Order: sequence, then C-alpha cells, then structure tokens
Amino acid sequence: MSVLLSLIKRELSVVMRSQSEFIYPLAFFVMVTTMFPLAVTPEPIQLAFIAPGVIWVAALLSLLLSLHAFYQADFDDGSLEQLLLSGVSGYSIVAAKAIANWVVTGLPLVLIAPVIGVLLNLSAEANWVAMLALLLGTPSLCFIGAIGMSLTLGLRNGGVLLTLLVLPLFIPVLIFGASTVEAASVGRPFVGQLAVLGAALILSGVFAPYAAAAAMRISID
Amino acid sequence: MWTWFYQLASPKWFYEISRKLLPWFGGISLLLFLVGLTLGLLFSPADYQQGNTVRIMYIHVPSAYMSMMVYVIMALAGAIGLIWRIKMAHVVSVSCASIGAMFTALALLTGAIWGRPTWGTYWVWDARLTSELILLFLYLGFMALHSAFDDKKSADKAAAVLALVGLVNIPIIHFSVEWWNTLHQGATLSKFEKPSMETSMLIPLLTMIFAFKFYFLTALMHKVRAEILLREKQAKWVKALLSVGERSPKDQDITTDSQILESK
Amino acid sequence: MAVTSAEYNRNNRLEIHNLTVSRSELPIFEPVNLTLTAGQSVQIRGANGAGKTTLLRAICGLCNSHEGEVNWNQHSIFDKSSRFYQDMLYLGHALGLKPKLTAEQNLNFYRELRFQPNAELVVNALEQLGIGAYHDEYVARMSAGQKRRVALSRIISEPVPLWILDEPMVALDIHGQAWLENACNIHLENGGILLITSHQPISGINGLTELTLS
Repeated sequence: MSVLLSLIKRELSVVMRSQSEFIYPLAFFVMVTTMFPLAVTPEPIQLAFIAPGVIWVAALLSLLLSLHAFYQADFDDGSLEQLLLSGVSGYSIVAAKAIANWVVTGLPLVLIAPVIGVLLNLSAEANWVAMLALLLGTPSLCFIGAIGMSLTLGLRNGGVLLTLLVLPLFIPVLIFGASTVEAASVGRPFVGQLAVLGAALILSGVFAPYAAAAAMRISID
Repeated sequence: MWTWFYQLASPKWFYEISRKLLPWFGGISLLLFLVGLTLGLLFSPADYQQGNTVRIMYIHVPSAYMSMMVYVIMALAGAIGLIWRIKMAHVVSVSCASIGAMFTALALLTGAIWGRPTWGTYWVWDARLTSELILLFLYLGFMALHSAFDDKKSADKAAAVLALVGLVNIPIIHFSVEWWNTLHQGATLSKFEKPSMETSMLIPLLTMIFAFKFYFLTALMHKVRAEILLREKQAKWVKALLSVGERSPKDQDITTDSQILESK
Repeated sequence: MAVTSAEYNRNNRLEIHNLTVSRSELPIFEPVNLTLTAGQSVQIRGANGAGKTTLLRAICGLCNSHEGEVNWNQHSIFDKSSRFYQDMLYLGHALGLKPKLTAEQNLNFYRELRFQPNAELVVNALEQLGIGAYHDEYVARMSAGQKRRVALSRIISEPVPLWILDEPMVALDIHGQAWLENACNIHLENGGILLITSHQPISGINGLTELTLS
C-alpha cells in the first residue's frame, strides 16, 4: 500500500510541475462543449436535451487526451523500465498512474461540469446527478484508457491508434453515464444507471491494471 | 495424443497437412454454398410480411454469427499463444482477424440492404447492428495494433492482450447497447427479428451456416499458410520449397542446351 | 573513497543458459552461456549493433522475444522467490530520471522502492561522483554528463550485489572512469557480480573476463 502511495505521490509531483498538463484537458473540455451551442442550436430546450451527451463525450475525449502525459514520458526516459526492474508490480504502477490521472484530470472535470451544465441549460437536479455520474464514470475511463495507452507506448503513431482502440471500450460507460444524466433531467429514476457505473468502476479498477501491466511489459521490449 | 498436440505447434507440419486438407475444405464449402443458396433462394418460403427480402437472412445471419465466433477463436488462440508461448497459436489468431472483419462488414452490408426495403432506410441504430459496428471497430483495432509493431513477437503478444480485453468487453458492450436500444425503442422495429423458423427455412439457414464455417476454415488455412511462409522464411524447408519453384526442370534443360551450343 | 561496506552473499550465482534474442525472426547473436558467482565480472564485447545492449536487457528480463534461461540463485529471474529484482541494478542508455525532479528527489525515490530511506547516503553518493553541489538541482537543467553521473550514483545509494551496466564510461572523464573502476573493484571484493559493456577497453577492473558476441 505504501508503495502505491509513494508511486502516486511521484506521479503527482512530476505532473504538477508542468501546469500545462493540468490545464489543457480542462480547457479542451470547456471549449468542446462550447462548440455545440454554436454548431447545433442555442435554443435552451434543445440544449438541455443534448447536454448530457455533450458533457459525456467531451469528458471522454478530454480524458483520452490526458492519458499521454502519465505514461509516455516515463516510457521515453527509461523510468518505466526502472520501475519494473525494482520489483514493483506492474499492477501497482498502472494503478498509481490511473489514480493520479484521475486526480489531475478527472476530478477537475467533475468539479467544472456543473458550470458547463449551466451553460447548456441543464436543470439543477440534473447538474448534481451529472457530477455524481462523472465522479463514478471518469475513474473507469482512466483505468480503461490505461490499457490502450500501455499497448501503444512504443509505437510511432500511438496517439491516433490509442483513440481507435479505446473508444469501443468506453462505450458502456458512455451509454450509462449519459443516460443517468438524461434520466435525471426528465425526472425519471437514475439510480440503476448509477449502480451500473459503480459496477463498471469496480470491474475496471480491479481488472484493467492487470491487462495494462501485461501490455506495458510487451511495449518495453 | 500429446505428440499430435506438439505437432500442431509445428509450422512445418501444419503447412504440409493443410496442403492436403485445403482442397477438401474448399470443395465442401463450395458444395454447401451451392446447396444452401439453392434451397434458400428457390425452395424456401417468402416471409408473409417482408416477402422475398427475407432471403437476405441466409447470408446476413451466418455472417453475423461467424463474425462473433471468429472473434472468440481469435481471442482464444491469442490466449493460448500468450500462456503457452506457442507461435502457431499467434499465427492462427492474427490470420483470423481480417476474415472476421470481412464477415462483420458483410453482416453490416447485408443488414443495410435488408433495411432499405424493410424500413425505408439503410441504417438504423438497432441494438444488433450497433453492436456489430462496434465489433468491426474491435477487429480494425486489432489489425491496426498488430501492424503497428516492428517486431512480430511483440505485435502478436500485444494484439493477443487486446483481443482478450475485447472478448471480455463484448458481452458488456452488447448488454449496454441492448439496454440503450430499449430506451429509444421508437425508431426500431421488431421486423428485424428473425422470422419464426419453419423447417423449410431452418434447413437452408443451417446449411449456409456450415457453408460459412467451412469457408472460414478454408480461408484461414490459406492465410495461415502464407503467414507461416512469411515468418519461417529463414528456415531450410521454406527456402527449399521456394527455390523449387524458381528453377523448373525445363529451365535447367534450356540452360544446359545453350551451354552445349556455346561450347561447340 | 567509495562506498559501501556491504558484504554480499558469497553464494550469489547468475546463470545464463542458451540465451538468445530474435528480431524479425532472426537471432541477433549466438546463444550465450555464462555463469557468474560472487566476485566475478564480465565485459560484453562486440561490434556496434552486435546486440550488447539487447543482451543486457534480456538478462534483466525486459525482452519479449528471448529464448533460453536466466537464473539467479537457482531460480528463474521471473520467479518471485529468486529475489532477482531486489538484488540487481541495471543502468542503461535511458537514465530513468525525471527531468522535473531534482537529483536527490530522483535518487531518494528509487532508494525508497527497495531500501529504507537514507537521504544522507544519497547526497554522499552524488558527492562521490563529483556532483554533490547539484543535489538539489533539477535534472532538466543538467548537462548530459551530469545526468549520467546522477544515474550512476545509484550504485552507491542502492547497494545491490548484481550490477548490470551498459556503457557507464560514456560521458565520464578520466577521473570519473578511474573512480568507477575503483568502485567496481570494491564491489567485486565485497562479493558483488558485474556485467559491463564499454566501447573502450577497460583496464582497471580486476579479474574482468570477456565475452564477445557473434
């Protein structure tokens, strides 16, 4: 456990030094969501209708962009192999990275989502639910994204390939996440969807690091 | 029995035995296709609602079925390659990918063609078609990942990990899409359900399914053979095999003849 | 001068059986067979591109396409009970240092993964390599040579019996090289094991045998 904590501490201290890594995904999230009223319609009723989906797709894409920062640098400068060579389990390494990724990118997204919700005319009740849904869903995305990132670490055009690999895996979280917010916005029950998000979090948190660790060892070659 | 198992892992053995099996598998699949298509197109009843368009089912259903079965085979073969480090397992896994992708594309295409006269539109976000589309992305991702690596061994292993992750996710994705689809039932249709199966429809359908299975095995063997030659190109037996084609006895005679002429 | 007064287990044994690595289906070098016990060292020699780095990485267990076995104390290195990863240090071309952390932060982090924290030892290690003044300098601001020396400091801050060093002499001046050779000698006297590659001939290490890759 202490190994995990010290790994997380290291991840955070490295990433926090470059504030741009912290800001970019957040800025991306805000800008992308802003595109929709401009591209679709500023009509409040219709905005509220598309808001759940827009928020989720934008959050998903922002997290996808943020993955790079936590994995690629360690791979490139040799830190990743040194970590693997010091007997630390691949599982812990991945878990630490995914958790740090969430703290630095996911959590701010959750906190800023209500602002976007207001911009997109989401009701107050739905706004709260959106925060809750994102709170449960964004960590899953970090864990699942870790798999794709670990597979593409050593590749030249890894970034584009990462998107292709990871988006299908994101779909369940996307469907249930958006549906949670949508149900809340029309006053329908949403607890079931939240439960599914919770289950997805547990499953991905427990199992994804195994797959990602195996992928890391393959990429290290 | 174990000897057979070890033999299976030998590329050379597989290459030789597949040479003998190929014509049989190819012939059987061709026969099954002919029988199945004849029965399906000519001798089975039209649907009381959809008329003759229902006959697309004889291609659509086997394609969709095979697209999923091939993915499972691809993932399991990859797992065997990872766990027991058997190279042939990886060869089979990688060879499955493009065939499976093709089945998926065919299922999507026939689904769209079926859709046009039935609902007036080429595409609907029906649960099954959507799941099939996502399956196509999974296949494409597998193929893209494998080809992105320079080293074949790493490529095989990484693709195998991806296939397994995909395998675990497919039921989850399917469940999510089904659930999502029930929410938005308005647009979709029960007409896409398989028509209730009378024997006269069931027999051609089963025939076509087997035809597709034998086609898959034939195509797989072709690809595996090509992949074996590519991977084992440094092996003596491959070099011998390829050089036999280069100089046929006829060419040798001509050379000797011209040598004789020159020396005169 | 250097270092550690640690005595290593005299029974330590590294065995390499028929180790070979393939790229694109072709083996890069002839199968390597090697056994090293406490106090022994070997320099891997070979032309550029012969696979020296790949061999060292394969010994560390980093390669996907290796054939053959590497055993540490009678167990495969991949077996937890061999404690291989507790007992070894690999320094390769990629230094494994985070540019945005200071030298001592980097070293302390690595130290704490396997040993009790010891900040003084870390600073001492940097001093021995002549960069004690830079202990709180960000690695990003250092020259290439200084960075290499920070990485090398780990042989002091993390005393382990098995050293696998890939071109450690690069970017070291004459004094640095002499220091390293001396450190290696002390390491070997204490019962350590050394695998090293270098473009230059190494004269200062006692009992250094050679293995040439083909």
